[in-house]
Amino acid sequence: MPWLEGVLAVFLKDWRSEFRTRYALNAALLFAVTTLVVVSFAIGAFGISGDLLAAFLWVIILFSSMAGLGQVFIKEVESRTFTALRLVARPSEVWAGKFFFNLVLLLGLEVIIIPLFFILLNPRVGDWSGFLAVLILGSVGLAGATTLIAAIIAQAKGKGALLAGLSYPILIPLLAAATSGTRHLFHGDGGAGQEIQILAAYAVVVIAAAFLLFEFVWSE
Amino acid sequence: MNTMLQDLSRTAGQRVIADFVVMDVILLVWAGVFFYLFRLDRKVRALLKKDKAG
Amino acid sequence: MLWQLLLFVWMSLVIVAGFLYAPLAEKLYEMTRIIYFHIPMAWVAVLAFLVSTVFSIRYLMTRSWGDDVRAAISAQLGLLFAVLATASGAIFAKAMWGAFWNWDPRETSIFLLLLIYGAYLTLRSAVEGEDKRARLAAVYNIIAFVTVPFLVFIVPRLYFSLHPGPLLNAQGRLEMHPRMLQVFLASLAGFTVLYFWIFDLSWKVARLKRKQEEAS
Repeated sequence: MPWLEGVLAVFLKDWRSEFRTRYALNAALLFAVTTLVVVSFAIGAFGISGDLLAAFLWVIILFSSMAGLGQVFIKEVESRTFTALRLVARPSEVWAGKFFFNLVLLLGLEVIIIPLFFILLNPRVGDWSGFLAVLILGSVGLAGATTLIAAIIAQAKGKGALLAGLSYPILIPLLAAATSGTRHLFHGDGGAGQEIQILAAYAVVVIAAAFLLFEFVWSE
Repeated sequence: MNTMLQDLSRTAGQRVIADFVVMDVILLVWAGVFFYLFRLDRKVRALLKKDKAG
Repeated sequence: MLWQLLLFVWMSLVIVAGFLYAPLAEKLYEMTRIIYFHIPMAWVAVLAFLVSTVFSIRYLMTRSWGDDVRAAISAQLGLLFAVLATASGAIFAKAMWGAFWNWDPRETSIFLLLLIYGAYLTLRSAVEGEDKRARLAAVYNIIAFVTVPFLVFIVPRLYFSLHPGPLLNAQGRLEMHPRMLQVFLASLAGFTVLYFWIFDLSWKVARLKRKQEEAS
């Protein structure tokens, strides 16, 4: 299918250039690790409740996303490849390719950060499949929303600063459900069934909306 | 419901006066906002009429 | 002309009635009156958002300046009412439950609306080029609108199971005396009319300004 090939092409293009410079990954990773270390140090030997740990986890994920996921469109504008890409690929291919790129980037970041989080802050998790479900579904929704906003701010002045301001209001439902679910999982009470449903619904809705709206962001 | 109305009569004299003051302030603010909008509305109407005629 | 003067009398009566005609509620006493302003303003903030989103959708279809301008006008109005609603809500929360802010679902919703308006207007000021600005702002408005139902309807279900008390709907807790309900509904109607009046005025002013700019 030509469409999937287009998506793959966009994805691989970004993957290769990211692999060379690792700019976005480094920015996000640096932020995440620094925050994690600072938080862990500040807490010291005293344990903190599962509630707070759940909140910290998602704050770290959210903030590092802001540091790393915006690059995917900003770099097109800065290297002047924006117009070229517009001519070569269809809007839907561009969005899908970059969405998957951001998703892989985010999941890759989490692969490094989550173990570190557990080592430093030592939360207790009863239901690992639930935890992973919340984490992955949350990441999918996060990547979906952020990729669209990234496309918008890349065409504005003061790009990076805007990404957080525009993304947060949209991400609040996701943040609420993710922290609530993680909180349940760290406490080991009940489970995060409801939250997982909400996260799944959010991901579907946001990705569908972003997919439909992207064309308006991308083409004149 | 009667107990609620009794509360009003049981309050000290000072509280009732403050009540009136607050009410008057709000009325004044509303009057101010309204007349600002009203004058603006008149001006805009006049300008639009001029546009249509000229 | 006439209906505007009618609005003046109507709202003046609402104010007076709120203070003299309607009884006080338990626990709130004199602070009861906030209800007649806070909730209608919150309602108008939501209405303004709806109107703004409708015009944003229209803009993407028509690409007409008029649709974009009206989306922006409604957003500015909505911001104003959202600020007033959030502030009055905080005062109400302090009087009712002892704390200015609790991040309960209802408080979070109105604050979220505030954030969306702020973000929308900030985005507008950060994009150069009339068409680009209109296009990007419209998209943001729509995606934001899509996520709002999650916070307003779905997420509260999570919290209801955890926290009772302050998170119950204020109206649910407060059984409104018939007189209170009358004043409340009258205020709601008045604020809605006020919103449409200011919206219409702003739209006319924007059109006039545009004509001036085009002439010169």
